[in-house]
Amino acid sequence: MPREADLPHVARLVDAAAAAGADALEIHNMGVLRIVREKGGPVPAHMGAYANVYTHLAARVMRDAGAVRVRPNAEVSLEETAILARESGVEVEVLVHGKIPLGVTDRCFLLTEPEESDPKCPSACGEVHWLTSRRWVLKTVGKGVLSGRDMCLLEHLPRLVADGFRIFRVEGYYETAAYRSEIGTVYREALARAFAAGPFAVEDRWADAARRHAPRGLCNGYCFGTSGRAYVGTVLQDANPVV
Amino acid sequence: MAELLASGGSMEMVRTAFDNGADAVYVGATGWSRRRAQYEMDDPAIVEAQRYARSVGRILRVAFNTLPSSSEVPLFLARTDALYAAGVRDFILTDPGLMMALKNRHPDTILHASVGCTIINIQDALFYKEAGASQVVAECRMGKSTMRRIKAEAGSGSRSSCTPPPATRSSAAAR
Repeated sequence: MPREADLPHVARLVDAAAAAGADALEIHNMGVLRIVREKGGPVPAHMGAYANVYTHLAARVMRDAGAVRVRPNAEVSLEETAILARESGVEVEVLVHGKIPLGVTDRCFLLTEPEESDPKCPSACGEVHWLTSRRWVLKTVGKGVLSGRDMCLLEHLPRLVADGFRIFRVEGYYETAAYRSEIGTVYREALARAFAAGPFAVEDRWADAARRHAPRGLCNGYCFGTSGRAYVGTVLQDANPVV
Repeated sequence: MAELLASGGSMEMVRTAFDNGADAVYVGATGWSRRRAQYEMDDPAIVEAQRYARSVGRILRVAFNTLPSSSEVPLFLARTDALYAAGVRDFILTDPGLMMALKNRHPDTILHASVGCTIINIQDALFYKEAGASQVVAECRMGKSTMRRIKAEAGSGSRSSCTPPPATRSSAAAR
C-alpha cells in the first residue's frame, strides 16, 4: 500500500524490475498500475489478489490501464470467473492451492512499536501466527491476513481445464520451501494428467502432501458459490481438523 | 468549499440529518451497500429521500459500494437507471468497471469512489478519476498534503470521515 511519499521509490522499483528483465510485476494498487502505464509498460502488469477484481468490467478498466493479467478475488466463483475470462479481454489467473489472501495493511499487526524500533521486527514474521475465534482461523503474517485453511482445487483440475483456464497459481506466500516444492510438484503432475485428457484420479501421495501441508484444513467453497471455509469434493473433504 | 455529509439509514434519519444542517446524506441501496442490512433502504424509500433532499435544496447520495459479480451487472444497471429516472445523480461505488459503465450511461451523474477503493495516493485518485469518479473518500490516515495534491492535480473533492474505518485493503470476504 504505497503512500504518497512512497511513490518515487515505487517508480524506481519499476525501473529496476525492467532493467533486471523481470517477467511481470504483480500489482495490487491502482496507482502503481498507473505508474507502470506512465512509464510505457516496461514490464507486464499482473493484477494481484488485493486488486479486488470482481467483474469483467473492472478487469476491462484495468486492461485499458495496462494490465495484461488479472487474478479474480478468491470470493469469485468458478462460474463467474469463466464469465470474467470470456468478457474481459485479459488473461485470468486462478488460485488452485494455498492460503487465500484476505487483507493487507501498512502497519504490522505483530508489532507493538514502529518497525524501526520494535525488537520483534523482523523475527516476528518468521514465526507462525494464527488468529482463532470460535470455529474459524486466520493466519497473520504481520502486514497481511490469510485464510487459515488452504484453498485446494486438486480434484477439480479436469473441470478447470475443460472450462478453458490455463493460468494456475499455487500461493506460497510465507510458506516453507518444502511446501512450495512439494505442493508445486503435486500440481505439476496433476495438471499434466488433467491436460492429457485421460482418466483423472487424485493419487494418494498427492492427497497426503495436500493434507500434510494444511494443518488447519482445506477449503474451496468460494469456487462453488458457498462459504469460503467449506470444502466441496469427494477425495479431500476429510482434511478439515476442528479448530 | 466544505460540505457536511451524514449517513442515513431510514427516512427519519435522512430528514433529521438534513434538518440539522447536513449538506448531503448518503444512504445504502438494499443489498448493494457496505452498510448493515438494517440500515439499507429500498428504492421507494430512496426515492422519497431524494424528493425530500431536493425539496430542501440538498444532495442525496446512494451507495452501491459492494463488489458484485459479473452476472449482477445488468441488475446494477437496471437499478441505477430507475434511481436516475427518479432524480438521483450522486452514487457511491467501489468497482471501477461499474463506475465507468454508469458514467458512460449517464454522463451527468456524480460518482464517488468509496472507502473500499483504498485511495491512498495521487495516482490512485487519478485512476478512479479516469474511471469516472469526481469525488473520493480519503483513507483515514491520508495526510492533508496528499488531500491537497489530489484536489489540485486530480480535481477531485475528498471526503474525510469522522468515524474512520480500518486502514486496510481487504476483500469483501474479510469484511
